[in-house]
Amino acid sequence: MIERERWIRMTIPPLVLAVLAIGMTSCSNKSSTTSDMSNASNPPAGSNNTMSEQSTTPPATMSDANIAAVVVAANKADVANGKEAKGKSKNPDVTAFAQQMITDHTASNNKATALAGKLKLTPEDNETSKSITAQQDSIRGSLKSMSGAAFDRAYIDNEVTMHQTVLDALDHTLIPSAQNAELKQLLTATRPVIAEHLDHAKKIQNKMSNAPTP
Amino acid sequence: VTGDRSRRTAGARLAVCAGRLVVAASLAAVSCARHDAPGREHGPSVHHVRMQAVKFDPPDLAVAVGDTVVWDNHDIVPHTANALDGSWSSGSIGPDSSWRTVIAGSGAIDYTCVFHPEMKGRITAH
Repeated sequence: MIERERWIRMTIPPLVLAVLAIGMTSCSNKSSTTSDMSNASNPPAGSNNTMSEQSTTPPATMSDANIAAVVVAANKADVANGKEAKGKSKNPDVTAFAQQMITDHTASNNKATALAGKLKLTPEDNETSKSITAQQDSIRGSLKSMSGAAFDRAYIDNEVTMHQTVLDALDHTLIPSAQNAELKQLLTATRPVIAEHLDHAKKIQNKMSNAPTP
Repeated sequence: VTGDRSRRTAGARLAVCAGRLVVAASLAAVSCARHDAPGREHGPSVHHVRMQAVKFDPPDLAVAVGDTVVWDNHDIVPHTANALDGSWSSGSIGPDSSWRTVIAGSGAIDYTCVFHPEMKGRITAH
């Protein structure tokens, strides 16, 4: 339990920063960035825009090169997280999920890289992509010092948060901002995959919560 | 006489044509009846299931025993089609790839994608 509390203290601040980083960017679209996990599989209604109403930040835009960098950063981070979990966890639900993340995010990255090459689009790092990479590197560093059920829980908790964040970013920033039709189509095709990952991670999370304490 | 013979010849030709029409119509009727029947007179069919947006489309498919089902992956990630009773399993079907199997037995078979457990489908063979 102490290990888990230490984990929460270490990870929540960077997670909040990352969500805010994406959220600030998404303000350009006057949409909500709140993490309503019950809507994971449905497109946002766009009516709950508390954050955009409170913000006075001028509308930000994200170029296709910026979007490509965000996609690559998120995919790479989750492949690395998956490899960490697959090599460490003994929980079959967790290792199966980790393998799914490795497979899907590798495939997604291959598609994104191929499209970027076709469009002669060089991914351009930005606040959001840097934030995702830094945050996930930090979390992986913390995961390395954990083991057993505490590791499994921390890994799955992070996967839920990360996929919710990416889903929000897709809905409110990435898809609306994409200028190139093929890039927009790829992002749109990515959305149901991320939503399925989120649902899957949440089911494992719930199963862990309901499991009897040893 | 020539005129009579000519008329008789024309009449005979008309009768033959009418007979042929009746035979053709009968054959067509039989053919139509066979088209409407649910049997296998025209051989096995090929059905396609689209894998897209992490879903099987259609999720429920009715086929006849001996038909072929093809799963076409239009998603950006690999999928599988695995019968829960173990009667068939596709292995990984990559993006823009397909896999097919012949449905050998009758009854309903539920299947899933082992990579994405939320994906569920059913084949019902008659």
